[in-house]
Amino acid sequence: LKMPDITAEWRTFRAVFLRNLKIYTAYKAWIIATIIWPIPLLALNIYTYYAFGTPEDIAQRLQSYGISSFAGMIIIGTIIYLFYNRLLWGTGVSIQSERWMGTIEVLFLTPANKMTVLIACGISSVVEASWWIVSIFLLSSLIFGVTPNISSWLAVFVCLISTIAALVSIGVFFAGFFVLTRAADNLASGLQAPIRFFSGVAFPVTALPQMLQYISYLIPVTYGISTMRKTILASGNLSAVWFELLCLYIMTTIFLIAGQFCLKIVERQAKKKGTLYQY
Amino acid sequence: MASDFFTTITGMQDYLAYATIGFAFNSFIFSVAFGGSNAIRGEQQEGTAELVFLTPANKFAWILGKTVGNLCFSLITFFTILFLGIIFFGFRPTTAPNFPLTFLGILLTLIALTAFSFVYAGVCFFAKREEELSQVLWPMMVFFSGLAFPVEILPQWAQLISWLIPLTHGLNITRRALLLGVCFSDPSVILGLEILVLQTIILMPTGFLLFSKLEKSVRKSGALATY
Repeated sequence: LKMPDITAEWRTFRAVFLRNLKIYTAYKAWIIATIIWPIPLLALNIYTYYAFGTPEDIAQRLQSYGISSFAGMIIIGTIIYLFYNRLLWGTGVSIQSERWMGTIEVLFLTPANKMTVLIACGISSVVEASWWIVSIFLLSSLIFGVTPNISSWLAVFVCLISTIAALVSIGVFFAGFFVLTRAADNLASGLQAPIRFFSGVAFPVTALPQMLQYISYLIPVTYGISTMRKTILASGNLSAVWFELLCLYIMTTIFLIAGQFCLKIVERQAKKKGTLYQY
Repeated sequence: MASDFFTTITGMQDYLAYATIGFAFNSFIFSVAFGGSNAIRGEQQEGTAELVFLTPANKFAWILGKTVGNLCFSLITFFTILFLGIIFFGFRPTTAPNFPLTFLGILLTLIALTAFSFVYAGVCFFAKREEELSQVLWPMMVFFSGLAFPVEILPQWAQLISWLIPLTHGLNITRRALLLGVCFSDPSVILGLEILVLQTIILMPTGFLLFSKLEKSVRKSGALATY
């Protein structure tokens, strides 16, 4: 088994990471879009409930599902979903973007580890989206009066990192898959609504019929949202979220292995068929 | 499924039917409102934008062609969502739906959204990153036009923005025609139709002018092909 050259991996990681941040900061429209994006999405999720009654009525109804803070539930769901979406586009569509830019063949000709390239894309996407956490928490306390109920900051930190790792791994998996199917745009857009629905971004998953809940529990975003809600809103500690964390780690491993497998197929097909640049 | 609160505001009994019509309209946002910008962005990414804009072809006709092409698919989506609403969510129009009014409401909305798409396409010449901008604009349009909830529950300032979006009026007319069976003489329908016509009259020339101006400007700066 060949050991990876840490220096070479670091050089690849740094180059891709810095390139992505440069591209990101080069487009003013993109920066503004990133800043504004969470606000209408959050408002949309909250106001859909307001069609049914006053905030007090809604909070009362949601208590039967164990939800103590109606706005808090939606805010955390929205943040995790936004992260998922950013990482799906930032990591999952990254290799397909190279194809659109005409640089995919050059990328695959270099000896750089493609997995490192993808992880660097994922981390740079996290940096781009990190402001959402701060902004949404500020907004939520100012506008919706949500106060976090945290008993263990360590649990919050572990859950956040574990969720981000799982989301990066989804991106890594889809990166190869999108290149193979040549339908990144359609697939990434098509996945948005089902993931938003099944992962319980705006409602508790337990409100779904049992059959649909099985689908929810196959999606890492569901566990990410659940751990964050428990640790931030219900003062849960690590022992309260161990099962969700375990599921997240298993899924992260599966997605990373499947992603590596997809990348290998992409490389093999690229050499065999020579159609890598075609879209 | 509906609450008394919802029925009092909208006069409608079934929220799922209300939301089904709303989300059926969602397909028009992507195909029509974002159709022009998406077409330009696509040519830029594929490296063919300069060639397209060098040809003597009328650019409005080109964008219109692309938009109408997208519209064909979105009409399929529109009817598929209504059909799925019937199957899964028990969506039933009223016993006497007003189909001519529904058709007129949708048609006027599409025309007004086309005018908006020219403005947005021009903006995307400069802003680039059409995908990211559309991702922000989409929830804004969904939020302010009341796709998922009645705009009457929004704060006053937000309702003002809602009134500026053609989709709000098109949705209101279509919902009232399909779910309440109202006729052309209904005051809120008359008002909605008047606003849609007015928006089309204002937006069309504005869209054409702005697009031409921005196209000329982008030709001057040589930023047509850059993305």
